Amino acid sequence: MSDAISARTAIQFREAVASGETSARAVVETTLKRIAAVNPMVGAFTDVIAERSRARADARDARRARGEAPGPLEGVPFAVKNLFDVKGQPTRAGSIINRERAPAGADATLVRRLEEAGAICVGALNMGEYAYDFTGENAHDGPSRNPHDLTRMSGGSSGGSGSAVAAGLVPLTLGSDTNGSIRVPASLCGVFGLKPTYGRLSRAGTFPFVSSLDHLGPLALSVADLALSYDAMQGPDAADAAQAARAPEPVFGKLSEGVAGLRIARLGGFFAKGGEDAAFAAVDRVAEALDVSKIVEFPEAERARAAAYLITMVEGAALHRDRLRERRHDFDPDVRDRLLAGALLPGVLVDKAQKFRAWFRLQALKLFENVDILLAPATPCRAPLIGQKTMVLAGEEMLVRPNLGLFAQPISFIGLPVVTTPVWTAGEKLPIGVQVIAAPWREDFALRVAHALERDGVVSARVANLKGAA
Amino acid sequence: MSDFDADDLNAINALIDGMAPLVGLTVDEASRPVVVMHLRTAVRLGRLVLDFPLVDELEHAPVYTP
Repeated sequence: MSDAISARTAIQFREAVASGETSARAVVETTLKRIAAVNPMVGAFTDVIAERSRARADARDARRARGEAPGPLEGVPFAVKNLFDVKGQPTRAGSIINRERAPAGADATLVRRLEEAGAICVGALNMGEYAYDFTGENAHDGPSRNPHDLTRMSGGSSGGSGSAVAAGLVPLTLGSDTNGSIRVPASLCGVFGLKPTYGRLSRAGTFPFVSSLDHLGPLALSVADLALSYDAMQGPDAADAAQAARAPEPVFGKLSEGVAGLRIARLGGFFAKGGEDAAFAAVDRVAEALDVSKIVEFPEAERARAAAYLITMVEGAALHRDRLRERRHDFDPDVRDRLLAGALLPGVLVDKAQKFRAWFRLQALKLFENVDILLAPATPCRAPLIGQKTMVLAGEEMLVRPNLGLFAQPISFIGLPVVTTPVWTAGEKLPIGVQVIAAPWREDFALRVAHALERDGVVSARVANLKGAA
Repeated sequence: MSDFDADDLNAINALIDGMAPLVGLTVDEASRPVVVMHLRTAVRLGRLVLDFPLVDELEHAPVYTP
């Protein structure tokens, strides 16, 4: 493998292995070497499963040697947020408490499906404790750092998932997104992220946060990588009660259809204020490239964010109530105190919030009668400094941890599919993301638009140039 | 929501003192200021949600199919 391995996309890895240019084993060895050299700088990985990944690579190489056709992700190294079960590893979910659990007895469904497609899991990734986080910091394992500026946040809670891709450790990772936890790190780290429709991908074998809102999805160096991995992960799974009964709807083959025939608008109102200029300039850039001038409003988006916030507080607190009783000193204090507050809230709040969710969904469906794609900022600002507790947005000082996802939260509240696309500005080393949002079950529309933007050079993922890296 | 005013720290502190033991939790003095802060946020956001008129017949979305 060449020195440029760190910038290879998943598809380029696949082509190199499938063509015989290299072997899956060689890819894994090079990947493990790079992780060993770079991870101490970025803190993306918490677990490296070297022996397992070598064994899987050898098995893939043996299959091809027998004449079996390569899989769609043949030899592609990937890693998963450490709330995914990886057989033989304790699923720590960013916590001290959970790592005392017995090792997982089986892989999460999505890990298994990626490996069935030929990909090779090389480890598990850092995350905010119990996913209640937008910073990428972790009180127990240290922060996952932004590879484009190591003093900056990766974004959370799938911080390691963003950092690992942007550092060129692996071309593909999996994360979870309850209120923005794929989209925030994708925005801050400058990689692509897909949060599919709620209920699309199985969550079986992952540690939950807020079941009403939890989604899983990929982060990658290219839109094609998102689509290819997404296609490999689709399909029914009775083990996830919230998964919708839908047959797989592959997208990869549709990417070249581009934006033809799609009605695109940008979101105004709530999504056009309360952030730094950079967030709105990024949307300007994408809108201009798509020749979009139409602005539409999501009615009551601020209320939607409020409702998602309350559901998260209460469901999260209910999930962790026993641990708050018995192990409260083992929590990250920032997480514990948010959970404690949630445990004290009256039920009327979350009941009304769930009813409001149904109302807001109907407004969204009406909006999508006249538009196919909505554009909005992914985060209100570029990556804050690690350790930074507050920020000032639109003249108002607020906490970083709960507010980095303020533009992401109303969208996931009703489960809309989103591709986060990274925008770079000349002279500015940090990226910022734009959400490309589609109607329920139209991941194909969002991925087609993101692919066209990437093809035209409007958005791109970048691997950081880390001095001293192998 | 007049009985649960965001500015009424006494009400929030009473909520902590009354509810925490009922759900078997302890809010120690080190945590209390942060818990109060989060509850103030929740009250402000809760007012947004509670004040919005919805028809009685509207279903919840606990397990949600878009």
